Amino acid sequence: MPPRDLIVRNPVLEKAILDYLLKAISNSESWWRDPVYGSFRGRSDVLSDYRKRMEGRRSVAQLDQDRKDSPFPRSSNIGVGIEMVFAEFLNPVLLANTHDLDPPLQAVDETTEKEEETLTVFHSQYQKSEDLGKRELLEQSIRETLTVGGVFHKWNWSSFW
Amino acid sequence: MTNQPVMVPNQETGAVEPIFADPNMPEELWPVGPDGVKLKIAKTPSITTEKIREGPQLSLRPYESILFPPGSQATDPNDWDYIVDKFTVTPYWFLGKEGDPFEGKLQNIDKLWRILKIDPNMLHLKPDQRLFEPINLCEVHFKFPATQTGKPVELIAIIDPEHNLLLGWRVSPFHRRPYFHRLVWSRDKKEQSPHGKGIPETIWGLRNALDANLNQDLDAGNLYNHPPLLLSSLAMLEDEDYEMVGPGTQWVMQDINGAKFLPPPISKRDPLAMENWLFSMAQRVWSVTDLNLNAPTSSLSPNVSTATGVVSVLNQGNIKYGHLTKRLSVVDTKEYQFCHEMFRTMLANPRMISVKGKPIVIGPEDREQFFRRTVRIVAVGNGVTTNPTLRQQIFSNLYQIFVSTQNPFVIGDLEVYKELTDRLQNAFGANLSLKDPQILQDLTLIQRVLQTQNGRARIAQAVQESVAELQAAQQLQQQGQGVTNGSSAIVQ
Repeated sequence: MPPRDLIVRNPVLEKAILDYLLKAISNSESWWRDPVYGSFRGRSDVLSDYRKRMEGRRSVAQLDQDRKDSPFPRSSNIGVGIEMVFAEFLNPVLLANTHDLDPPLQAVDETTEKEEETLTVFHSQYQKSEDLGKRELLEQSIRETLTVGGVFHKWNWSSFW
Repeated sequence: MTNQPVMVPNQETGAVEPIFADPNMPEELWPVGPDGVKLKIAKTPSITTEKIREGPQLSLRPYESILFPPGSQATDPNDWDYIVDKFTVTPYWFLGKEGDPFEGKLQNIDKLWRILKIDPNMLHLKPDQRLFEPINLCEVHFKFPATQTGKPVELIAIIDPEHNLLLGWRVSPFHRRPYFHRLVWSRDKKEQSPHGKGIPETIWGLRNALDANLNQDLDAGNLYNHPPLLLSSLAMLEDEDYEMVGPGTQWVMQDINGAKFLPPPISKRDPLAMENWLFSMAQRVWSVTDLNLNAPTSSLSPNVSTATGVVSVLNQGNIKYGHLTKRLSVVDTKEYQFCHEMFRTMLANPRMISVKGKPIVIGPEDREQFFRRTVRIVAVGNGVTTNPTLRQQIFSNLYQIFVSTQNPFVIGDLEVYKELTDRLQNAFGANLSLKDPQILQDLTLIQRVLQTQNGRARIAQAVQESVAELQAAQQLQQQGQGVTNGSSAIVQ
């Protein structure tokens, strides 16, 4: 007797999966075009503005111009990139208090409530290994988090030969 | 053509292969080609592979590349109905990926080649612009009733939404979705968005005001640093009249009614003070003060002028800063646990690690036991107790209090006193090797005995007796080893 939760691949099932995913993607993409709460601008445009702000671009009028036409022609339009001043201070400090700690993690066996030192050492060494290159990624990750509000980390199993 | 390998058909496989030869074959045995010329033996380049690393690999996915169900408020992608990861590849990416989707390969690639009008077998022979055209793909992790009973299971699919192609799907091999949302500032629920808030968004108004203030100041400079002299053709102002300035001066005008005072100058603004204040407030939203940045207090924080005020601002900043660190550490813990689970289920090659200088090899057969389920991997950073500056302050203060009060539980207990000293020096980055409390206690005792009248003689006698006891024990041990060796020799 076959297991009850058997998954059998067939064209009908694959068509249903494809239809569901296409609808899901379409719905989700429309969310990005919706205006942001308290604004008339879409979410993608707003994120783009945040990135420009972090780069020290202008904010009063046109983000890409040093001059504007109001209140009079060629009036000043300089941006003061203060965000970056303390974002680039927070970035290494946040790293120092998370990833750079020695060790940055602790393995605890729930059954004994005692630390598993070997596992603590293993995972700490792996997370800090140069092959993984995590520190550089974390620097970018924190910068992204401070710029637009967050970022997604994706972990995958990888063999590199 | 010279130096080309001679290719002959393989009778078993039907493929055309070079003739392989033993490099040590005597030259007189080398074969002769169709043209009667003796062939040469040459080295053929080949590839040998060696595992460089195996394990979880991290990649960053920005907000713009991730789709989620509209209206989702949960910040963890694992709680959403689905997560869509958009990425772009070129046709080259698909080479060698065709196969069984349940083994991680892709299907329907033949349809994609037809749509793209590309012959995959000719890709390397006739490269053209189509090979560099981006193809937008979506990797989707979602729950779907794919079983015969209709029970939802977690699936992973790759689709090409522009060409309506399902390129592959399989049951997820992970115990949770491999996506982790890093954020430090949550959004209000009414905004119907799982996204966090960044610095530009939270200080939008302050930055606008700062830019406006600076630009007005620049404009004012442009206008008033070299102000124009305003003269009306109707003013009928006599030259000698307006050249006179100073208290009590009267300018006789012909185009005013009655008498009026010269309008006072426009009141002077202090743009720098405003800019300092705006900058200071913007920083504090994110726990940073000019004190952290080593700026003079009077420069960027004009309202903090006392030592108490400085300490207060620092402490408040640390609380906020600790909050930021904790938010990251919560996600760190989930990621560490995920890596632990991946090692438990996916490690395929032996891995060697060093623990206290001893090498330990973890083989695939050991992975279930070594990376066992009952172990929880927890990130230790919490921003308050791990903040180096704060730790130094805390331990310095504690140390002073304990010493000044001669606290009996700390100063009276060498074990505790040593631990406190250890933590204090670690907080400052020092790594002095401190003696064991018992040894320290013994040394102190010996020092006291030495200071007594006959102490030195007693200690010398005790040392002599101890040395004699040690020598006797060593002799006994050597005799014992000799007996053991002798019996081994007989048996042999």
